[in-house]
Amino acid sequence: MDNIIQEHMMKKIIPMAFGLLWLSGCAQQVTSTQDTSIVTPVTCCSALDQLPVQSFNGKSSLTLNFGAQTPKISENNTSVRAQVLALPNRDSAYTIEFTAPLNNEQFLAAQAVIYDADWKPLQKLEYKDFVYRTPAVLQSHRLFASMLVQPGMKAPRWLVVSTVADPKPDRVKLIPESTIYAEKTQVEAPLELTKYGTAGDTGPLTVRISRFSQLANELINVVTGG
Amino acid sequence: MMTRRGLLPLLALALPFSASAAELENFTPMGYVKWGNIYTNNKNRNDGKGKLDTVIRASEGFGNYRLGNEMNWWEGGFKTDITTDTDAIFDFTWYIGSGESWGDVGTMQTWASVYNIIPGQPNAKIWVGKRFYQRYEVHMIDVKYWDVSDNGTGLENVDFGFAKGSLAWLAPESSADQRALHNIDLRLSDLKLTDDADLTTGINYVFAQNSSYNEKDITTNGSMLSMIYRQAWSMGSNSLAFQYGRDALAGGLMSAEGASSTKYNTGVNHNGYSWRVFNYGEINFTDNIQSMYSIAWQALNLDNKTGMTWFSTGLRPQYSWNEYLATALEFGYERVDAQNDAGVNNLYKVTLAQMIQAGKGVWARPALRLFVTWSDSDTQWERLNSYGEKYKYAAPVKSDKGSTEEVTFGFNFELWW
Repeated sequence: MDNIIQEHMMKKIIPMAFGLLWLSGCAQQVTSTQDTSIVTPVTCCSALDQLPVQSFNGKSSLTLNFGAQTPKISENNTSVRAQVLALPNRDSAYTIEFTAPLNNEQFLAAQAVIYDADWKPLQKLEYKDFVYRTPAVLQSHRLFASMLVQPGMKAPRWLVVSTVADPKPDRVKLIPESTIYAEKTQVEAPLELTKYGTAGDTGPLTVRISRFSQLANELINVVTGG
Repeated sequence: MMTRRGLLPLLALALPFSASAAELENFTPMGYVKWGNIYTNNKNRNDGKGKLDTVIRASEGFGNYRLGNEMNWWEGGFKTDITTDTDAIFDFTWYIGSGESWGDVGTMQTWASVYNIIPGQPNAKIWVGKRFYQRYEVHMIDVKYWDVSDNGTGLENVDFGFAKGSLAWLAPESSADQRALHNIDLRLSDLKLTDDADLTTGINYVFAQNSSYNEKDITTNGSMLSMIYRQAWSMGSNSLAFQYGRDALAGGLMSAEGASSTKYNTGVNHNGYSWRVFNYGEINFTDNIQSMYSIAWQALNLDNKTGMTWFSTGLRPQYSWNEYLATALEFGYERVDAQNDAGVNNLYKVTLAQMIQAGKGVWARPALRLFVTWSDSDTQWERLNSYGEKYKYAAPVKSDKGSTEEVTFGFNFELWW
């Protein structure tokens, strides 16, 4: 009798467990993100304040998708795609993190500028500030950068994220997962062909505002690869 | 990839190096964890507790098909560069690890090295301490087939232009009587054959510090020649390894279930030789379909007929449903023939695993898994001494254990940092 009950239970447990894992994997939004694809036809705006403004709406992160429909602005005799985010009002310092994941063997080459309410630039993050990071906890190959917004900074209001007309370097050597495994477990790696990710002006970029202190942020990044 | 971490100031306070002119750079935490639980319907296993306490494998074989078939383990530590006022760069690695019990925590690595001190050889490194040393592994079956990790000292990464050279003097203990041994390891690695292929070759010579024994026919030294050919190609990578061992190292230098306890076979009658071949790698059929594979074979021929022949082959195809969700199926077969014809042990294993992992591909980690395994093992012989007790150097004798069919299932995660 016990055997029958046990086998019956196992028959139930295993499909249920697989079903749960399946469902959780399908619901793959790991962070609080929001798809904000801009459907506005391509325009070329003469001023930043003409761009549509997006908001975090109380969430910690936002994924911007840069594509053919993203508005363009003029910059140094060329045009780049740009999106504007309204920054939340905060009294304490916080960090803005930018993550451009590898997407179809391409990274979005991006830059960002913080403006005050009068559209005066306060702080700039350049494409060269992005570093390549290897896969970590639910993170794939990606470019990553962060900006520290100081409490003394004069009323940061807008964040403008734009593409880069002529990104240098224009490609990043990807470290294979097998090499990462070998490095982490300290065994000799298998030999793999070299692969590259190319910098481009389309693709996703996740912007995350960290509520943690810089030290806490570093601790989190040590574990998650941030 | 070496990265500077913002924790550096904190650790500089915590470690004594900050008091001198030495500074820590490139502080890198490292670690690895696999943890979960495996239930079984085999009431004869683990005193009927209903969960695995050892992995499923062929009796007297080596390694384990590890998908859904691993015991819990964690290990962690850090490595850091220590720069000084001189051009020399020192580094230090400290690493501990354990299974489920904190009482089992042990030092796995603690070693220091210095480089940039030999003219024309900026990367040549002199090291001292206990460390993992240039280990070669077949991941799918959890076998490190060339693993001399231990206390020791050496010089590595000497650039000859066409290859890198390393010489190490390691200090293992005999697997039989724990006498102190010397293990001289000389190897030539990264010998480029083409842009996509290279060769590593090396020799180990082991001998006992005290080689005096009253008994006759006691083995006190041994040697092993290793060659590894690595080939990258558009659909993945392949490694082919040959090893020939004699006497104390016949069948030696291997870390795995069933193998770690016989790495250095001095202090017993172990004269003879072994041939060993591994061929393993991964194939990327498409962006979403990949497979690991491995074939392993070892013939251990000992003068006293206590050897065996081991064969193991397996395949782990995997389909990635998206960036995070994947399904893997692992097939494994293992067979162990006793040299004295006492019998043949074998194992068939099939595991289905549903996984959430970071990205696509067989190497993507971290991974969270649910799995179910069917296995069938047949045990015809064991190593039993004259009292009927298991002893790793005993001659194979017939056993009537017969066939065991088993279903196991469970969950685990695996990650590193």
